[in-house]
Amino acid sequence: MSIDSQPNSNFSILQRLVMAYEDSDAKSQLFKTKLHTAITLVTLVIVVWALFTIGQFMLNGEWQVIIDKRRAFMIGRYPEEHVWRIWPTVWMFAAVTGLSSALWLRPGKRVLISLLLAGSIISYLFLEFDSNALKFGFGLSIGLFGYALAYFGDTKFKLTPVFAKIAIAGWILLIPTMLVLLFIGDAPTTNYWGGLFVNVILAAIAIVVGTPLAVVLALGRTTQGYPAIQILTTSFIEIVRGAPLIAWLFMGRFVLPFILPSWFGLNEADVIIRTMIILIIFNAAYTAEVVRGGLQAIPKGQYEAADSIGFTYFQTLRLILLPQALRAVLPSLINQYIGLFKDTTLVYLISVVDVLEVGRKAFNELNYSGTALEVLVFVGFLFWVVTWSMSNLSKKVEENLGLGTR
Amino acid sequence: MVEKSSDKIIIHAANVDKWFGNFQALKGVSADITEGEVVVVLGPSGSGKSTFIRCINQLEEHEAGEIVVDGIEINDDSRNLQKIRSEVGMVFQQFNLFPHLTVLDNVALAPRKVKKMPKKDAEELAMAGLTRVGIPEQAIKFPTQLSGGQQQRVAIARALAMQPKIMLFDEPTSALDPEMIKEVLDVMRELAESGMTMIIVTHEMGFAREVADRFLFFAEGQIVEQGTPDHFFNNPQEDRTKLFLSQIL
Ligand SMILES: Nc1ncnc2c1ncn2[C@@H]1O[C@H](COP(=O)(O)OP(=O)(O)O)[C@@H](O)[C@H]1O
Ligand SMILES: [Mg+2]
Repeated sequence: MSIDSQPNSNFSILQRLVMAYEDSDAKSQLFKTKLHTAITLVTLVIVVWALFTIGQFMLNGEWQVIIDKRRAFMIGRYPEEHVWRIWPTVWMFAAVTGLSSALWLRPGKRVLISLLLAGSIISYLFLEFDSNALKFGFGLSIGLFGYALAYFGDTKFKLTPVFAKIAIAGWILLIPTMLVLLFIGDAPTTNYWGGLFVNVILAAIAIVVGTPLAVVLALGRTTQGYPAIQILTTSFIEIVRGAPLIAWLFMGRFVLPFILPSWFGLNEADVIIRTMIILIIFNAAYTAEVVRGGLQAIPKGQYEAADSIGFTYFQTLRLILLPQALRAVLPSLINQYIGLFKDTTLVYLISVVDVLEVGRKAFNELNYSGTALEVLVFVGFLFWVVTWSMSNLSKKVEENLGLGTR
Repeated sequence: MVEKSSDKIIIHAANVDKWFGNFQALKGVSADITEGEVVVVLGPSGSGKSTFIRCINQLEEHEAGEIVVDGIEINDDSRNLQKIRSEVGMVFQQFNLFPHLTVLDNVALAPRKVKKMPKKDAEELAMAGLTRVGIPEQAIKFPTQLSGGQQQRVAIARALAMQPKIMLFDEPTSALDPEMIKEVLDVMRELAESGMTMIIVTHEMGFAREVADRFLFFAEGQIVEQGTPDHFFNNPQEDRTKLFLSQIL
């Protein structure tokens, strides 16, 4: 529970690097023999050359396309007068992230300051000083405010339980809020959805709806004494995993309309909704196998202890089995989610214009010919930021759950 | 010997059969245990001791025979099962604490969730239980941060938190380092003196002789001989009992 316990935090990064070098074996290893020296020098040349090339590219690249198309990268051709439907979700996300990280993760001051700096630089350079930059900045301040609130609520007043409830409610309500805002009133049809927005929504829905489904599937597959359930869940998982995602996406586009029941006009649902259904199912099948691994790793004694104190099946599941199983497989779970997020770029094949497709359309325009590398690097960077945050988050959560240490 | 408060039969087992596939682990086991009695179950490995006590709280389902616990008959009614389990506490050889919960939560969870006790009351009860087994200061730690002896005492407190009428112990000290056995036996001795009905599978003969009202000797899925500790130490009748005692003493 200690706050910001980074070692040597009084030293600069450079000083720490030097200290690490002095302490480590590196000093004696790098120039140990002639061969070691040669390898070290060659590596040095490669690193310098790579840094130089990257630096040149960053300085001389044709980055105008990114700035011109920044809206499209984010939200495709979503109409400007409806963008208000998106911002509240972003702000809510910022607020609950701020609250939660102060409550449960405690990133050091350093992390916060670099986040703030990065946010300001992005909004200054990339969004320019228009109203969207202001809204972005507003989101950042809400996030920081949430962090400060929870931080001081914890240290100065005894408000942690209250904030914890607010944060949990926020996470639960986030996606419903987003969907309500996106569909309420005379909202643009999903045909207008595009850009990174589509990748994030598709992945988020597939994760949030698919994971509980995955738990059910995993339980079905591991259940004993009900062969019908076992056969059903096992075949579902194996069939879904048996074909590539592309095949399922085409199925969703061209076949699903004929086999879906007509409740709520489900059979006439548009392509994005159908894609969501496919991704939910696809993610559920893979995640189910991850969860199953976790369930099977739980010793028999845990079931016996739970039975012996009088828990019902569902109490055992909720209080004993799932908390342990999900903790144990958290790294694989995050790995699965990262893969899924990147797989959402495949939707361009069924003519959904996601962020990668926005980029491709952009560098195919006559004005921007020859900017393919810049565009791809930028899109890659966007994906990297999201996936890197996810893996860092999981690392933090693991540390807090004491996974590695226990 | 402790005077019994009543002669009420709290566990009644008659002609209990238990099969694992083609292997019969219990062959017509019958035993009546009165309230407040401390029964030690002896016998060679594989003789069915664990299976017998696990039938009492139905961690194992028996195939034939009758088991009645505190007037509740074990049958297909799952409500009966739940009722019996909240009256029968069990302590395992491997402790089986919940590693993701603090010691306090391990103990408080069952009263909260099964008996629907308010959180505060359940935690008070849990603290009282931890004090009784001598480790109130470990409440906010996680099980793996405790020694084996401490973990087993938490497990006892967890079972006691349901305020059971009967406690089952399946070799509670067999997984412990020798220097930790005594602290667990001390807790069990205190429990026996308080009048708890206990069935204990153990190889700690000194302890068994001291606390037991009765020994049951199992061999090959049957109760071969039973009687007071004195009977067993001075005057065992069956050859198998004599052989077993000669090996263990
Ligand atoms: N789950 C099980 N499946 C198959 N055989 C079992 C199972 N549990 C116990 N047995 C068998 O039943 C017999 C009695 O076991 P147990 O009651 O554990 O003996 P004890 O506790 O006296 O050492 C042993 O032969 C054991 O191999
Ligand atoms: Mg045994």
